[in-house]
Amino acid sequence: MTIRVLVADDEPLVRHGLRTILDSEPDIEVVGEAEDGAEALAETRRTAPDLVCMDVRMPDVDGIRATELVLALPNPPRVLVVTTFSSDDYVFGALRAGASGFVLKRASADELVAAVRAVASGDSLLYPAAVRDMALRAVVPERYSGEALTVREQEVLGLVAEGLGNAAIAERLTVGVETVRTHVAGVLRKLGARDRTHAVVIAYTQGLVPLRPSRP
Amino acid sequence: MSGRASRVSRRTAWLLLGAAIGVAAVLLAGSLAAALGEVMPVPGPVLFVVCLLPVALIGVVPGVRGLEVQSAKSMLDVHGDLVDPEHPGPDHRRRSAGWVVLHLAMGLVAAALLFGVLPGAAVTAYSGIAGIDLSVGGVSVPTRPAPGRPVLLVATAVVAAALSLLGTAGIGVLASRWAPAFLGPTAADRLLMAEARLARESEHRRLARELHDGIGHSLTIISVQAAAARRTVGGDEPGLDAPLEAIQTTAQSALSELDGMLGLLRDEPAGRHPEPDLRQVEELIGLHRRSGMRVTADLAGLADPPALASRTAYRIVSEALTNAQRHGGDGDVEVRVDGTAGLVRIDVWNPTRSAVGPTSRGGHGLDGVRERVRLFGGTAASGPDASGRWHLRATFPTGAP
Repeated sequence: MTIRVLVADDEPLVRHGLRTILDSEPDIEVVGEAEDGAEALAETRRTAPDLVCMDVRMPDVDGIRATELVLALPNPPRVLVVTTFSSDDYVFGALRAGASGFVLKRASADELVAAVRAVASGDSLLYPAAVRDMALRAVVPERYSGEALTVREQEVLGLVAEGLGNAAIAERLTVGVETVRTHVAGVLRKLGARDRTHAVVIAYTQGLVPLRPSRP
Repeated sequence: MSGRASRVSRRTAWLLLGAAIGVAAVLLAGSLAAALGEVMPVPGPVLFVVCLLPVALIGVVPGVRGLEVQSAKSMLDVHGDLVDPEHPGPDHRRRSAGWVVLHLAMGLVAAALLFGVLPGAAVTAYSGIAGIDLSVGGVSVPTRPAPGRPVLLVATAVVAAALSLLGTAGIGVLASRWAPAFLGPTAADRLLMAEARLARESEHRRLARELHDGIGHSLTIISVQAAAARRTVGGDEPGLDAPLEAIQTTAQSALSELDGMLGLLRDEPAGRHPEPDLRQVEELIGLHRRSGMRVTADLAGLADPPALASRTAYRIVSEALTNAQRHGGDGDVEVRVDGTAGLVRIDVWNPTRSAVGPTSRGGHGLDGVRERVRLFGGTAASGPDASGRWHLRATFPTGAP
């Protein structure tokens, strides 16, 4: 099944470069381009992509706002944030707004493609250490006030935050993959999260997973 | 050990410097007083003030404060912030004058100890040991002392000598303790420093943004285009892939360096934990509520004043709530902040615990509030209102367009 992608970036050379790289993959098809947040919203409506590659810094409607708007559509696509710098606070802003992951524009073609596939499948968290570092910079954890998680769900959430996929979590906890899937679904439901990345961002902002600096 | 010895000797030198100028000042003042006394009878206290004035005026002479700051740093080992402002205000002048008076006075006392008491002690001891009659100022020491007298004389001399040395060292220590109070930054200086730091921070941010928009932008295009070129033609043309890869990795590593630099710029301690301002007032109130205080807040007029005014306002609310926490009685604390039309108005009411009200210890905090507000050309007052609650009101212009 092909992944239908919309590329939103205000710099045409970056946009075209990303398009060339993604189009060279047999299972990815770029269905549209947008040069700012407003156009990204319009193009998402028109082409109904599976995934939007969203530049965080765009004129007028920036990537954070555009992510919010796109995700508010019925049957929204997933959003992959593309950024020049990992130390850009806008990235965490976009993740908070519900983006499913981020990737650096300077990443190799293989990394870019892998990021698109990972976000489209929704089965793993991209660059867990970088996400934690961003949260560490941006967040003063509040108290979680939602439905309480079970001990097992807490554990699973912690491993998701470490970037483990379902299979790896199952192995770590010596349970079946199906059980893990149930726990993850429970966590997402209780946190009101759209996917794993969103759940991890919520976990950091609400103090469900302690924020410690990653080892250098 | 030698470090301590050199510290003591540097302080003593500083004191003697004060003594030298002090002696000159005393001579001048003495002749002035004598001349004045011949013209008309002047009461002692008035004479004292007349003599003190020229000394205090030395402190106001341009350059003297700079000298005092330098000598305090190099001779008294004061390592804290000492300031020599380009445009000294009345507060600076007052403190400089006070410091010069203190410097000379301490110098004279030290000189009296070292050149009066110490030689006196030596002579006394010598007379005790040698049994020689010494007449000092009409007081004669007996030629043939009674048994036991030499011991007493020598002991007295040793004690006096020790006291004069210790006293001198002690005065030196006091001088280095007190220097920051007179030569350190005033509250206004601290505000200026905060302003300068703020300007520096925004300069850093501007630089970061320029790096992002300029170099980062171009390098990103190079990196992405090289990656795209490798995807389309690199595989078919083996000779082309290596140079394209070199272009890509070079752009990538330059971008990582920029990335790190941006992180450093932003992670500066001051930038990372900016002082809270009015935007965090609600958070602050929440904090007090969680600690059990009942607070009603009207923040409807919470506009967004300039950074420094906003921080000042936050501090005032924070001070008021802390005071209410410490001294207030049971009942609701009411907070009202209005920040419209270039004016910040803060009202805080809290119930008092006793009829006396929060006067004794709360005063310190209120002094701080008053001082801050005055710097903006505003006013602050507090006291019981008609209903018996404690009412703090601070009003000040935001001081910016």
